[in-house]
Amino acid sequence: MITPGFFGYYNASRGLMASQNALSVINQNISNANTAGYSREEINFKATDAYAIPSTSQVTNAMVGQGPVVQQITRVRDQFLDAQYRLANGKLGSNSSTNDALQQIQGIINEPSTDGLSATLQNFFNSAQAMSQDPSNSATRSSFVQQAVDLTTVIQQQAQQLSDMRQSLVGSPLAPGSFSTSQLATSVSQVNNDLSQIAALNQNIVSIQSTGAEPNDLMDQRDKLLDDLSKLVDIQVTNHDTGQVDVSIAGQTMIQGVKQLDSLQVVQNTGTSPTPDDVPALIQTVNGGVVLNDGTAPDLSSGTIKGISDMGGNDPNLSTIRGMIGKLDDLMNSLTTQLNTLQTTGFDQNGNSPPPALFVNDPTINPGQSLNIFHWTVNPTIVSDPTQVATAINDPTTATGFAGTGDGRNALAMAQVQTQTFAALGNADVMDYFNGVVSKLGIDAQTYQNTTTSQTSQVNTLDTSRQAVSGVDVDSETIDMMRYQRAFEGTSKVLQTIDQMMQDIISMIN
Amino acid sequence: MSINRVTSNTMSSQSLYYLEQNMSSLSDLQQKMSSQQNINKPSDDPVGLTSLLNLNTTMAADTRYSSNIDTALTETNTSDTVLTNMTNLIQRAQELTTEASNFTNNQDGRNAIATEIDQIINQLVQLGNTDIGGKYIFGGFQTNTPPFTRSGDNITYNGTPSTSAWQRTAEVSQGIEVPININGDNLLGHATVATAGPPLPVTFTPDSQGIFETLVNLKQDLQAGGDPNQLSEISKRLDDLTTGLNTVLGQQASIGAITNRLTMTQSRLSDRKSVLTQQYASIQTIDMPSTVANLNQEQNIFQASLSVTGRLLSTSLLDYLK
Repeated sequence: MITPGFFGYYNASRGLMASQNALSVINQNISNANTAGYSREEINFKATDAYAIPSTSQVTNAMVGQGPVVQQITRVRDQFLDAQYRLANGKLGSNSSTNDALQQIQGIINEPSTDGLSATLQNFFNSAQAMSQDPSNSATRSSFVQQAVDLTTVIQQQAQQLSDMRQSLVGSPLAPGSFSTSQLATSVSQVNNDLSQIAALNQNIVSIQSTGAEPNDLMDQRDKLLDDLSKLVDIQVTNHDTGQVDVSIAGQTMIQGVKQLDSLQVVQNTGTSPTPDDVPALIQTVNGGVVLNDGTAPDLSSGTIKGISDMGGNDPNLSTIRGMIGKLDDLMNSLTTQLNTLQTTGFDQNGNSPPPALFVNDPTINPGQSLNIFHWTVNPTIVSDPTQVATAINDPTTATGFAGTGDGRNALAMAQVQTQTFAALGNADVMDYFNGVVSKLGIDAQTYQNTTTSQTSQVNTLDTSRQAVSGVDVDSETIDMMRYQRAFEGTSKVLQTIDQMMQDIISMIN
Repeated sequence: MSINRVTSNTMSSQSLYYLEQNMSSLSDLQQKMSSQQNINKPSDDPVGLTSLLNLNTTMAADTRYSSNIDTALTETNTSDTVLTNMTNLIQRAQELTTEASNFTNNQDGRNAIATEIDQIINQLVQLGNTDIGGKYIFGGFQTNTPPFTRSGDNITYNGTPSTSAWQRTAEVSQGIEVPININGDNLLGHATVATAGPPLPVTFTPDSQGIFETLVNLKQDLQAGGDPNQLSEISKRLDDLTTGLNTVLGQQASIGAITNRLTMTQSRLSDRKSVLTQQYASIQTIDMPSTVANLNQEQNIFQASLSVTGRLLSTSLLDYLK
């Protein structure tokens, strides 16, 4: 018994269809070669069940194949690599955002340079020293006052720049609007946005997968979102057989199944009595009400948001923005206390005592209030009349205390404040203290720079590994294309042959 | 190990990654070359930076001490010159006195000598009021008013008295202050106690021996006439003049010693400056040959990676399918 006549047509048609399907997958792969997050797709064929031809001569039936069918189009993806990649990506996120902020602080502190604080302090003390040599000379007095103005300007500007930077990073209680426009808030809303998209994709994927189909493109999209999310915040992803993924942030479940349970929000840290040393902005889960960045568990462990929040926070072991402002503040307070004491107990050029304080709060802004680094300035009275700088000491051996205009001993004492140690500065003098601060900043910046470099390289390596699995190689797709083209040609030839045979038979009937 | 699957995208993203790295090394070197500094920001070398900032502080302090010494030397050198002139004047007074003691019966001659003595007093007052750019150097802390004023035979000292606590000083090293001035009362004395002017807690006794006192007495003796007793008074004044001269010479010696000390400190500072500058340079100044070599190397690497990238990324199987 021979196979039924039209059997060959079906077989060939299946072959042609298979090749066409394969080509369309190749088409999809090549077209998406540069699509971010795209995983290459593979087409899997299987031979259809063989058809048993009853045999006349043999006991057993002969089995004749019926051509291929598409079993599945799957995306090629390694979930283990994904998990590793996301872990490294989160670490890169936190390190690189910390590094960015530290580099920015380095730019503001501007050392070593001829116009940084270190040089300005030196110039100031040098001018006091020069004034002590010739206190009746108006040039040395003016130069001293000018250097004092420079000093206040540099410290004030650096503090202001740092404060502005902190405000744009995490917001400031002084500008309540800044909490919603800060980098932290922007990143958090990015997280929420990603979360809601992932939840929506979960829904679609589950409903498509329940029909037995593979929603490859949607899964790619979701994986891309998870990658993005992993850079922002540390996420834990649990894959389910039904197709959905559960996502939690710092152990707090955000997405379970097709439902989004929670999201993040940035709130101003009011505390019981908000101080500038507080972490100005808290990251909270909306429904759970759990704070994720106040240093108590559960805590963020990686991601851009952690980096931003760390630098905007008050970790004493890191050169945070607030920490740097605090250091400048300590420096300012120590200098002011000491120099104002000298100034107000001495005698000015004309033998008047007590002269007005040297450093004050800008009297046009907040006169009489305690010293504020942002309004710290040289007393305008002294700026307009440098003879009021107390260059002479109060000399108890004289009748009035004033020894003469040539007495520069108080000015010398001011100059010697440079080498005086302060308990508030950890028993260091102002120069050493500031050097230490800059050096710590340098070490922090170097550490995070190096970590960022190595983390970038790790993420890069992991991405290469993922690409090795999931990436589209145009060359190999081209080879496949040629393969299926040949198969198509061959099948066509078979079909032509079968058709020719059928015609031969039909023509016999005529 | 199996052969890793390398896709064209892997190649391009890897190329990009390494090109970026090369670029960043190049940019670092370029920054070093154009600033000629090793450390441009704290993270470049935090440890080196600490030494650098400390060196900066030390060098700035030394520069300041050195300029203090320059100012002090101007004053001590001027003082030295003035003291030499004073010495000459006092020696002239001694000659005149010796001469006068021989004019036993010549009042006219004595009067002429008295006039010259009077001129010497004027010149001494003038020398005592020497100033450097308006700053009177023999008045102690009173640098704005002339230390000596003469009214008739009264010569008043207006400056601050000479005790160590009233000495103007120059800080020449950390914590080391060198006195730089001679107070006029110590040098020339006075003829009367200051009544007006700045508060002087130290009371001058009217008979305290100073050259002014001696000269005024001498002048009055000479004018007084040829009493033989006066003559013996006149020759007694010679001793007083010698005492006055010795006072000035003694002060000149101490000014000389101070000048020496300042000069030696200055040269020590300049020695130290060259050492510190060398240290500074070893940390901060780039090593040109090695930086240029590094730059060339990095440039070669960069060009090589560019050329490899260009070649690899342009090849595709599709080029060979016609």
